[in-house]
Amino acid sequence: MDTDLVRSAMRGDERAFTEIVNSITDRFLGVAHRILRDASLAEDAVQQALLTAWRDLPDLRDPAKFEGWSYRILVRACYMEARKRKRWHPATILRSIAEPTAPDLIGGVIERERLERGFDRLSVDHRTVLVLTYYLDLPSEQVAQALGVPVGTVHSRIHRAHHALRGALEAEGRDTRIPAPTQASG
Amino acid sequence: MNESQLNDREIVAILRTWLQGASSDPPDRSRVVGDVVGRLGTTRRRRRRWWPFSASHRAAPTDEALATDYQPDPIPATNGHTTTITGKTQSMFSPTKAITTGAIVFALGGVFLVAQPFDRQGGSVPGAATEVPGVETGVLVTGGWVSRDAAASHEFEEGVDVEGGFRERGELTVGQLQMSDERLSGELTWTREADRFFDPAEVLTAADVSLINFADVTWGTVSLVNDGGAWEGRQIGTSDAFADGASITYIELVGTGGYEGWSAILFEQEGPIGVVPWSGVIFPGDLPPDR
Repeated sequence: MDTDLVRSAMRGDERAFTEIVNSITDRFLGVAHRILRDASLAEDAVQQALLTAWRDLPDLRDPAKFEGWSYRILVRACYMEARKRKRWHPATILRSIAEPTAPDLIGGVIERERLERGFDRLSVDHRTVLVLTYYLDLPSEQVAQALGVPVGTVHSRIHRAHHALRGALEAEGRDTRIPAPTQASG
Repeated sequence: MNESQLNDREIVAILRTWLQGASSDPPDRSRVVGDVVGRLGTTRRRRRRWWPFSASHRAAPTDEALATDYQPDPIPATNGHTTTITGKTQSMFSPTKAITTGAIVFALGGVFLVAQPFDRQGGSVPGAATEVPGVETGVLVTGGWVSRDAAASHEFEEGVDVEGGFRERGELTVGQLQMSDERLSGELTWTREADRFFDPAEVLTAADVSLINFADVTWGTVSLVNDGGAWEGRQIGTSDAFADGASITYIELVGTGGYEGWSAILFEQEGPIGVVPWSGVIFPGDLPPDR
């Protein structure tokens, strides 16, 4: 990120901040969409994060730290949007298996759709640490900064996320054989 | 091969391939950019803190009131310690605010004067024009973490799940603390233990555990070192899971070496994202006896 651009934006230059918005929105939307698993929530989270960054830029002491600072705001906004999401219901994530087709395998092992559903089952905490680590390819220190936790906690969460993903994939394998429960009327 | 037979490296490779692939039904970029840019002019921005005793802020002035060369004089030294204002404070400082600040400091100095043990009264009032050498007095301080060396936080025991709770032990953080009084600035070493409480029944029924607001009790040790001496103490606090301003930590420090005979009581209050301000008092004498 151009630190001169950030410095200008810190001073209130709207054109400079607009340039920043144009350069980071795609990346932010990619992160938010993968964390929240919902395009509409991701749009709201990114919009909130960018406006928060604009509002709080005067508090940023070092323009060179804008990237890590803004990721932290984005993660915070994603958590806030996740809270607004309706509670998960088993029937809402089971997808009907239509005509049998050749499975779309990831790595030659796991069906893409099953991986998506398994990822959906993870907590926001776990999805966030996986997205920051494997989508953005951030080193642990930067992930720690974005999450506001020590590096040890990042390692712990990644380990737990792997474990949770395995469990989620196994659960998906079981659930596709179980019909969705019917909802009581009234 | 099924997923239970995959090792972590294989899981990572699969995950990375999938995450970095194109997503179906992507968000609407143009809507987001348009909405954000359209609201820049009407979104209120934060003002840099103008409190003259806080750590320096190097923001360029945004209006005439800020573009002043006025530099507040350091508080008259007591016992050789000067409250340091580091850097050029281009904050929102005006003569009116300077007068108001002086009045507040004078009033607070009166409070300290009364609050001190009788054998120490008669000392100078912070902010007073007349310096009384050799007299020690308490001083309000503000500031916070400047940096934390996340790489140093490698000694961490993975949390242990227990019914009705969750434990973290052995977390270590090292960083730089910058306070308005340089005696309390320096390398800070902070250990943290945490017990996290939640309703097990809620955990069992919730699809997303991260949406549950936990209640944390935290505690640990605090060590601060600088060229003038060192401080040792403890911290104890409460927190929730969401980093949304509900966390507060009490810190007490006892001076050693060059700071022997001094104590400090501080509070770390979680603020808006990225801001964790500290405030408190450094004072001569022992910590309060009843606590």
